[in-house]
Amino acid sequence: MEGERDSRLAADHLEKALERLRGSFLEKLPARLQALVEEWNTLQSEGWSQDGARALHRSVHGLIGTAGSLGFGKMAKTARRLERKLVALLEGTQLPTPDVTADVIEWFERMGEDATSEANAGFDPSSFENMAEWGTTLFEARNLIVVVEQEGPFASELALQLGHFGFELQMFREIGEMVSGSVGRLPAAVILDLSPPDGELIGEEVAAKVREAFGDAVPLVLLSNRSDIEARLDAVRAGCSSYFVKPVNYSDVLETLDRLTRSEPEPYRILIVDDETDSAEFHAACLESAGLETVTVMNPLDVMSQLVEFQPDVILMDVYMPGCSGLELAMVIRQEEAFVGVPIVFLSRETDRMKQIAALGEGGDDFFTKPVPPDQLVPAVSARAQRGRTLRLFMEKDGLTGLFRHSHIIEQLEVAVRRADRQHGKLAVAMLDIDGFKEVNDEHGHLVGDQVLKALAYLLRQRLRMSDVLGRYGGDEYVVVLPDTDGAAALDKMDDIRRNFAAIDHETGHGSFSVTLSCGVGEFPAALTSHELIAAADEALYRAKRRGRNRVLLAGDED
Amino acid sequence: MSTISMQRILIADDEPDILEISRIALETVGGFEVSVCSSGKMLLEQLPGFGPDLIIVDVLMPDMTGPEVFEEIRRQPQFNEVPVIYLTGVIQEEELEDLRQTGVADIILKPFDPMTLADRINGVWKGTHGR
Repeated sequence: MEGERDSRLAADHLEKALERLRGSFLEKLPARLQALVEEWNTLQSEGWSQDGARALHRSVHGLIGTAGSLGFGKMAKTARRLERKLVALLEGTQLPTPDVTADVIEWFERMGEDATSEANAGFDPSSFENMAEWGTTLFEARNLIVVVEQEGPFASELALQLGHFGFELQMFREIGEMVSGSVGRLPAAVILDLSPPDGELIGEEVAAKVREAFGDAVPLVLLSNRSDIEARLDAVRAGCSSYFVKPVNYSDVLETLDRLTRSEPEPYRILIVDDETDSAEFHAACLESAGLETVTVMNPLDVMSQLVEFQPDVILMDVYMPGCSGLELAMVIRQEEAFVGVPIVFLSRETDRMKQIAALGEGGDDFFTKPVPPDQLVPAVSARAQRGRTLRLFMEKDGLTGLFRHSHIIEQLEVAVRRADRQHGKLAVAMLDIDGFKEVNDEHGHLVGDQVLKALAYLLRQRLRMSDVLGRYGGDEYVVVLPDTDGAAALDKMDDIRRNFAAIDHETGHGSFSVTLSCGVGEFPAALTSHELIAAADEALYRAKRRGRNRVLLAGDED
Repeated sequence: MSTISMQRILIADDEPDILEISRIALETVGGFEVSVCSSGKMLLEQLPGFGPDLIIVDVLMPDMTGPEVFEEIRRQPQFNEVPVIYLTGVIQEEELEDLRQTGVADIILKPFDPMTLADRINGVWKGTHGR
C-alpha cells in the first residue's frame, strides 16, 4: 500500500515537472523554429552545403524526440515528415528547388501551429501509446506480415504472392520462435497456421503469445482445419480479426490483409449545436475523451457554415434554442442535398416520449434527454457516426475495389490541381487499363475477372503513398492522382507497378494465369486542368495500347 | 563486482530538453541518482568521478556518436561491464539492427514515454544482472 502511494506521488511529481517543461518548451519554440528557418534560408542564399543541411537535419531530428517525449505527438509527427524531406534533399533524391524551399518553411510553421493547438487542447497521455508505431508508418515502410506456419507449403506460396503486392514477410516455424525472433518493427498483421495435434482449441494461448511479442494492437489472422462454431468462437474470444478454414484461397487472405493494412480511419466528427454552455461543454468533453472530434456552435444560425467547413459525421442538437428551434434547424439542414444523409441526434430536457417521437418526424434520427450519461452518449453517437460514414463511403467508393468512384476522383483531382497551381507544385495523373480484360472475363468468368480487378486495387493501395488518390474510372480502367510528383517520377512508379502486376498469379479453379496492364501518364502544368490531365493521360494510355500493351508512356513523349 | 542494486545513472544527449526529461523521470519515478552531460566527450570525462551503474547515451551527437562513446567505455577495464543503453530517434530497421550489433544492452527510441522510462531501465538492469 505504502509503495503504491509512493509511486503515485512520484508519478504526480513527474507529471508536474513535465507540465513545467512543456511550458518552457512552448515558450522557446517560436524562437527556435525561427532560427531553423533562418538557417534554412542561409543554406538557400549562400549555396547548398551538405554540412549545413546535415546540421539542420540534426536539429529537426532532435525536435522529434523532445516534442514527442513531452507529449506533443502531432508536432513530433510533423517534424518527422519534415525530417524525411531533409533526408531526401541530403541524399539527393530531391533537389532544393524554390517549390521545395517554400514547402520546408511551411512545415516549420506547421510544427509551431501543431504544438500550440496541442497545448490548448490539453495534454493527452494516450499520445505515447502508439509512439513506436507511428515512426515506421510515416516512413511508409512496406507492411510487414509475420507468418507462423507449422506445416504445409501455404506460407511460401503466399509469401511469393504477397511480395508482388508490396508486403514484406517474416516467417517462423514455431510460435516460440516468433516471440524470441522478432524484434523492433511491429507487423501489420500476424498470420497463424498452426495445427494442434488433436484439433484442440488454442486461440487464447497463441493470442497471448502474439500479445507478448507485439502488444495488443496487431491484428491476428488464424488459419484452421476446423470449421465448427466452437472453433470460430474460440478465435473470436481470443481476439482474432479473421478466421479462415483450410484450404485457404490466398486472394481471400489478401483481401483481409488489404483491409487490415489500410490507414486508420479519421476520428468521427461531431457538431454540437447547443446554446447552453454547460451542457455543450459536458457533451463535448465526453465525446472528446472517447477520441471523437467536436465543434460546438452556440448560435444555431452558424450551423450551415460549420456543416461545410467541419463536415460532421453526426449533428448533436438541442431542441430548444433562442431564435430558431432544433426542429426548424433540422428541416433547414435536410433541405440541403449535400447534408440529407448526416444523422441528427436531438438533445433536450424534454422527457415526454410522444413529443420526442414527434421531433424525430422532422428529420431527426434519435432523441436523448439531457444530460446524457457518457456511457450512453459515446456509443450511441459513435454508432450513428459510423453508419453515416459508411453510407457516405458507399456513395463515394466503388463496391468491388474499395477505390473512389469516377465522380469523386474528379473532385479530388480538381482539389489537387488547385493546390498544385497555388503552390506552383508538381502533379501527375496516371490512367491504367488491364490488357485484354474482356478475354479474361470470357475465358475464366466474371468472378475471376472481379478477382483480377481487386488484385490491381490491392496492389495500388500497397505501392502508392497515402497522399495519392486512387480511383476506379470505370470497367477495367483506373486513375491515380499523384501530388508532388512529376511525370518522370510517376512514370517510374507506375512502371514498377506494371512489372509487379504482371508477376501476380491469378488463381482459377484449374490453374492460374497472369495479365498485364498499360498505363498513360499526364503531368501538370503541361496539362493545366483536371480535364486536360485526364485527356493527356488517356492519350498516352491509348498510345501504350497501340504500341503493343504492357507498357507505361508519358503524354506528349513522341517515341 | 557488480553492485546489487542500481543507483547511479549517467546520461549523455545533446538535446537539453531530453536530458531534463530523462533526469526528472529517473529521479522521481526511479529514485536514482542521475548525472547528465551534453556530449560524448563530457560523458567520458565524468565517467571515473561519477562511477555509474548504468549509462544512457544518445546515438546522434555532434562530437562523438553513441557507438563511438560505447566503444570508448568498453576499452576502460573498470567500466567495461557497465550496461550501456542507446537513446535514438532512428526508426529504420536496418539502422537499428546495426546499432544492436554493437552489443548494447538496449535501445530506447525517442520519443519515449517519461512515465515508463524508469521501468524500462529497471528491466534492462534486471536483464543484465538477474540470473
